[in-house]
Amino acid sequence: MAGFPSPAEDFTELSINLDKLLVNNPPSTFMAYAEGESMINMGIHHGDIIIIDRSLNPKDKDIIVAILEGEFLIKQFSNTENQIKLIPHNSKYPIIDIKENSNFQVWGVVVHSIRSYR
Amino acid sequence: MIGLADCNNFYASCERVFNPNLNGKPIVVLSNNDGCVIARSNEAKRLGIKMGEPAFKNRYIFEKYDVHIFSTNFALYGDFSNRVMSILASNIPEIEVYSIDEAFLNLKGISNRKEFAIELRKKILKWTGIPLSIGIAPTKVLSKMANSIAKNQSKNNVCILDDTDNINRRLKEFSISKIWGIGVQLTKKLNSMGIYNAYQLTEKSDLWIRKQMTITGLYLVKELRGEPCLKLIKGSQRKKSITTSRTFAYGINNIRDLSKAITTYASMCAAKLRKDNSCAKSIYIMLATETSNNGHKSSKIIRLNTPTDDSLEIISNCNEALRNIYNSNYTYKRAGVIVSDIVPKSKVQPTIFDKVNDIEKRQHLMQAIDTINHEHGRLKVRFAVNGYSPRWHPRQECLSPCYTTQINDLIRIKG
Repeated sequence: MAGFPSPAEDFTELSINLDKLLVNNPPSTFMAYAEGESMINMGIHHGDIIIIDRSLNPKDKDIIVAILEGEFLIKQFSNTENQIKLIPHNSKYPIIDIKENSNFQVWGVVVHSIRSYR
Repeated sequence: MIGLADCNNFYASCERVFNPNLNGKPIVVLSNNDGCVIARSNEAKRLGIKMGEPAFKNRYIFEKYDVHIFSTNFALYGDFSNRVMSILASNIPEIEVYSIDEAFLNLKGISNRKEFAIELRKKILKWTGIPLSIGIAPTKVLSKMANSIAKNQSKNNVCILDDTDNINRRLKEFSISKIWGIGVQLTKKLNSMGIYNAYQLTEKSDLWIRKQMTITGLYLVKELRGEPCLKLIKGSQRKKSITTSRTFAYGINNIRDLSKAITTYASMCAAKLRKDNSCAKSIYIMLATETSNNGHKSSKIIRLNTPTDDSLEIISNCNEALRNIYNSNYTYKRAGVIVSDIVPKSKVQPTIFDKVNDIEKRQHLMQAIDTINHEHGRLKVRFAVNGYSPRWHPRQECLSPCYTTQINDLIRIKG
């Protein structure tokens, strides 16, 4: 005997795909582990995975991965009155002013962070 | 018009994306086993380090100029190659991926090609960190020439050759040894006939060219004259064969160690087949006592009734062939497995002797192995005989992390 058809059948949708949710543009998306405490008040903790999209142009207040004097950093990007600053979110860390002669480059814009609880 | 996009010093550029400190510093990448130089940054080229030279010959230069040395990291280069190619493919209706770092582009219907190429180049550099050069011309061979001109332009690495006067002027400056498809021997022969630059070739008669350079040479010269003969090979045309071969760190003369090596290469070939959704009908195994062409070589071809992508089947066939060709009097320095006669998996028909149920079970096992190896690192799950002895495993002393393909290798960035 044939069973009664599922009443949900007509409403079936694809399951939610985390990959699509977190990665908007695969060829320009990279991942990294966050280290240290300087962004802790922004919710980025030691050991979190951050997702970086290099295709985006940084706007004021974006979280970015930057290269300063050859070193990778995660900070908040601030661009007001023609002055670029890298802002930490932990009072123990100083704000970094980017000077004209600084060796500075935006590597990508952080679009998500992932933290695991167990 | 045809474009050729070619990444600049591709392997060195990949290493630099996660090591910004290496910008401006000399980098070399060594072949499997850390034997020979197979890629150089511009700075390393300027130090006089030659392509293909054994690493030990350059030890002195490496130390004196603080050259950064890397082992080949194909997981990293392959991932960056996919990124670059997918950006090219999404911006251009038709591309032919020619090698890991080059693609021909069909620019038909694209107006303002110079601006288009400059913007595309900028986009790929920003999105991936990989710099590339684009040469544009009426034919493939000329686009190769345009690309090598573009490489030497410090400004934007884009070169368009579209009018005859300009092309002819460039052809006169272009040595025949640099033409795509003309090798050392042919260069010598043509030089002895007084032909040194590309323009001289275009002035010769078709009959003469055919006699000296065969029909392939004639296509090449026609392309130099601006007459398209070589078409773009569309899509990802299936590989004809897959090779996994290695030079051992030390000579091996016992069959147990050889079997471990052969088994590993066989399972790598099988994994590649499964990744491409293909099956192979022929398996070829090879042993050699020298890394060069001298010395003793033995090989065996196995033909299967049904094409397969099954690791166990490929491994057991390889080991049987190994027992056939192994000779205990020799010390082997190199071994390899090649699978060929490749067909799409969807076209494989089992013979009446194959048990369908078994095939399905095996496929699930293979899938599980591939998944585990992808998630936990290559070769985490291996077949019993594989082993992992450093005696035959290639030396890779300066391997960079697989930043983009292994979760534990992700770069760590300070907040």
